[in-house]
Amino acid sequence: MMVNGKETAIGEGMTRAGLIDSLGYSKSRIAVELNGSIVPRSEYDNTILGDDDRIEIVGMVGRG
Amino acid sequence: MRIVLNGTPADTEFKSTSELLNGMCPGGIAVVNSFTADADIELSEGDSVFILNKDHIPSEKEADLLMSARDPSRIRSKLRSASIGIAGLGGLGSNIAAMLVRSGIGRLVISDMDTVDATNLNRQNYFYDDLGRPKTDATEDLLKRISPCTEIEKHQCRLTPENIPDIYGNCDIVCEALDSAEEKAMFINTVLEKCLDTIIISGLGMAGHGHSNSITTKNG
Repeated sequence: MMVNGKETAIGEGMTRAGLIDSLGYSKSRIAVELNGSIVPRSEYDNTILGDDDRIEIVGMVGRG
Repeated sequence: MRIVLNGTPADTEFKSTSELLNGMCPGGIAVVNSFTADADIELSEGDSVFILNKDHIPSEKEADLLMSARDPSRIRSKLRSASIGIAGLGGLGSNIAAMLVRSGIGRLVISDMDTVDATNLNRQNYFYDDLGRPKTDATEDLLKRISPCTEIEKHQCRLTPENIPDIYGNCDIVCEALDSAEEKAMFINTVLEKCLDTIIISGLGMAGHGHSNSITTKNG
């Protein structure tokens, strides 16, 4: 699947939550777009990702 | 010929800026099609001309009009009709607010729950006599000093997923200028989920000291 613009091999059965964790992101500091649509936080869940999925995860850094 | 004079379509017999100024404002300055006329300029059909009389203090409405003399007219109306939100009035937000008002934005919605303290003064758009004041009040006063005609809506409050749509839902564009990563993520997610007609702009991580040539940009 595509992760942040790059073709990436992920394990069979990888879930949304699992991918976020495996990439080291903190769920309270990200915004996630899946196949062009924003993913609500309530849906960072155990939905399994597929080969055709395109995910963008933006991690926030503090200060403004 | 038909020109746009001080923002209003007008017929004129004058053929050049020198004739126009001699007739309407001796000693004045003409701004033609967004550029100050340093020398005499021949006028053409459709030209946009502003006349500036430096001996006259304009009314608030006149000043509001003259602020946009250097903008192409197609931009002026876009800016004036825009409603822009700014979340947070710190290092980013307080400066964004002032520059947007100077740029001619017609309406700003601002929020911050904090008060001004001395550690803010190195970068935030506040003054010594603002210390202790709510940032929303200090910012509103500053913006009104820049341009009395800009509409300001202020909210001194902590932003939550519940109040963000009420406060910012009718903004064309909202600038995320909050402090912590968690607040930024909460705000961005809420706007993207619940304010579908609002474009969000966010800047992250622009801080530090170093050589300016080391700054790079890339797309994607």
